[in-house]
Amino acid sequence: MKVRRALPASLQRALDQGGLYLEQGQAFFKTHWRDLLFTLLVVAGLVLYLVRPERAAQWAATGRWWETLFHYPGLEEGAARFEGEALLRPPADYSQSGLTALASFDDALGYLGADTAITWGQDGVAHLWLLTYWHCPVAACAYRVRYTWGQSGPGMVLTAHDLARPELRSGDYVVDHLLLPEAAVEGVVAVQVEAGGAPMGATSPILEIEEGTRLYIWQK
Amino acid sequence: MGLSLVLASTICIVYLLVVRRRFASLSDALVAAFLLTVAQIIVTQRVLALCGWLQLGPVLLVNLLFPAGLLLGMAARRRFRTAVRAIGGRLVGFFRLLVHEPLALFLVLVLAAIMGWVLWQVILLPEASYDGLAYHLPIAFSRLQYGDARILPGWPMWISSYPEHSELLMAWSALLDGSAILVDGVQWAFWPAALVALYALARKLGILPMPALLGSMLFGFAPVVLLQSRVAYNDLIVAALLLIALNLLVERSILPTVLAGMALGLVAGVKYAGVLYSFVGGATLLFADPPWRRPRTFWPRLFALALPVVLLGAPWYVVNWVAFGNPLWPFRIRLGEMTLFQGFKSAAELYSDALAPQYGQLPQVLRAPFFWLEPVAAYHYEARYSGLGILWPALGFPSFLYLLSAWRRRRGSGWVVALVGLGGAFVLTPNNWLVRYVLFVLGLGALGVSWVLHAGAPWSRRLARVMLLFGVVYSVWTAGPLQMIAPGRLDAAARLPADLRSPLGLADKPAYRWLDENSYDGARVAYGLGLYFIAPLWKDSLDNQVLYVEQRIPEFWHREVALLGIHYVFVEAHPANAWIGSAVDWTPVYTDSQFMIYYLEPLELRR
Repeated sequence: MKVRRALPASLQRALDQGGLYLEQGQAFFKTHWRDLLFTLLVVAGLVLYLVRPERAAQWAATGRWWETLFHYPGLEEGAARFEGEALLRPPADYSQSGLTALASFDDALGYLGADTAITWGQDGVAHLWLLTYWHCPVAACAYRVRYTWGQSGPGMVLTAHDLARPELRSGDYVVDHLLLPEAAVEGVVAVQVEAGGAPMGATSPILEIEEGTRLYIWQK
Repeated sequence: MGLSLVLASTICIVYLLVVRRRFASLSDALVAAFLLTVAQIIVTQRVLALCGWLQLGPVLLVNLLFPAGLLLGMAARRRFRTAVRAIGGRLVGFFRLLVHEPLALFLVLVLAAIMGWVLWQVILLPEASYDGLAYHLPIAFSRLQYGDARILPGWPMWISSYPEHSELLMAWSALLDGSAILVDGVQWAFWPAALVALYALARKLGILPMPALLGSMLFGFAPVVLLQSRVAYNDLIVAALLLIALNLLVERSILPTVLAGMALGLVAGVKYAGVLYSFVGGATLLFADPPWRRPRTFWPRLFALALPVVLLGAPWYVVNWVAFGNPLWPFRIRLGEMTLFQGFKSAAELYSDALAPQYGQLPQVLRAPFFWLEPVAAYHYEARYSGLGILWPALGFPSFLYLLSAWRRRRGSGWVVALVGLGGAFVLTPNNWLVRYVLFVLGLGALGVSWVLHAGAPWSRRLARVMLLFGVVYSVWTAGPLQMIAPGRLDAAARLPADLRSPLGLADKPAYRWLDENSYDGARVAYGLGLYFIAPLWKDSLDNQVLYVEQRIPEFWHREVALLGIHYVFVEAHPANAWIGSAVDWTPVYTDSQFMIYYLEPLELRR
């Protein structure tokens, strides 16, 4: 019969201690396995979400975006401008579009349509600009356009422009513009075109005409 | 501008005063009042449309008379002051709790600031979302244009057959405000409503007020929620109504069950997939309150749930069935090899291009978890591959699993409703990898976070709080409510005078701009097959009349358009549309590579 030799006392103590720790660990795991798993899943979720190439691109884009969030670059020098004022809403880009005349003045000058632009004025308020597009096949284009506001009677004269100015012209096309006074933001703008000081006759199947010469082109 | 918001808020307050006594908690009364308000707005417009009276006067009158009558009834019974005092007392009690919990107070203040910020964007910036301009807003504007309940002629095909509950909310805004400024903010109201519903649900599950509040922040700060709340879509509406329904279903009495049915009926009328959630509601009732255990309550409750669903949701599908021979038109419905209803395409075919080819290899079951990790560098309101934010994978989903681990201990009807309801809705939703379709799944994470904060070990509670704070800061930084906005646009929009702001997008497209600036107010505009962005044809002022004229037989199309007294025809400049220009008296006033606009002389047409 073999007699088992007792373990050295120090080893026995260590084993007992280990067993105790193991039991404590087991008890701890039994009580807290949910919290351990939760911690593990939170860390895993964080790592899987953050450690990927798309995040670096996202952070770079986000950084750039926050820098410019509250700052409208159009108010700075060198940015897009219209008549020296920063553009809040640019005019439409009709350079690739085909516009047909909506009205004709003595079959010589075609009115192609209107558009608006809004700028931030030096006076700290928004300015509304009315743009008009013309087809002017004659070289001289010696016509004067008189803009009035108001539908009853001749209305208030806003301005009168010569279409012959070269800065308005590109080939056969002319783009004129005028600053609308605040009161005219909602209203009717009429145009009358003069050649040699006499009003030209207007014809249009689309737009309203008064006295055969005054064309109502814009109302908001 | 704002009459729609003021009147809706007034109706909601009146309902709150009326229903407060019926509910034990203020949060339940709040969601019930919100739900009744939404239902009133939708039902009154629907009924008036059936009578052909969907105009400002009748809508205003009916919606004022109803709450006024309720208020008078309350005043006659001298309940008004008691109700106000009771609500005030509850609110004061809640804010006292809130100020003693710095994290909750901080998050509530940040969320309130962001909600205000998003609402400000709704007012300043134009609605330019894809589906919003393509069919949600065209449905709303067409319904107002005709003022009756006819089948709407229109392309895309959704315009004729889509259930219109969310569009009727947009119509409410456009009709009462006389503009489209707030139409993209209709979903916004459902953001706080969903939060209150989640809070109320967590409280019913025995969670303390502050953990319940903190958990709901998982939904409140999700990037997709921030982005959806400012576009004319309907996914946030679906999620909020589903959460409201489940919250009310936890209660065993009849009134909350009827209201839950009302919420599910409203969901069924918001989008096609909403019909499935009615079955989910029935299933939760079956699991939470089974007939073999509680036969006395089950059958009355099932009836109370089903009746509002049928009354509110079913009419849209019955109309489709009668008009198109298919309740779910344009979806082709098949059962195995048998085609039950003929349609344009099956749901799978319609969504076949929704998933980018690089993700096509992912097994169906792994798609949702894959997109929860957001494998893209940007957010978008469409929320295809991102949108739940960092909080869902790093806190919400682990917390949900933590909650599941406590399932045995917490098994009760409330938990069954929450888990079967949200889980079932997630499983049943077609293409549930697409984040915005399953926004409600955040509710599972929210309840999980609430549970960890309520019942977790101190270590887990601390971890959850730290992660919540980190996740919120990270979400606001990366997602921000403005991520979809080009830098400077907000500043520029804020500087524009209110009457010069454009409430509808596409101002950068010259053709739409030309129509807006050069067609006269009240013009009749026709469009044909293929055009997708329809809403801007009404113009910013919503003055135009827009008509779809189907191009079945080209030879007859010109005549049909002429007989309608059309002034402008807006079509795509597609070679297939070249024949359109052959009509005599049709003047092409605008052309570019994408679009053509023709002008028709009205006098000539009348001959």
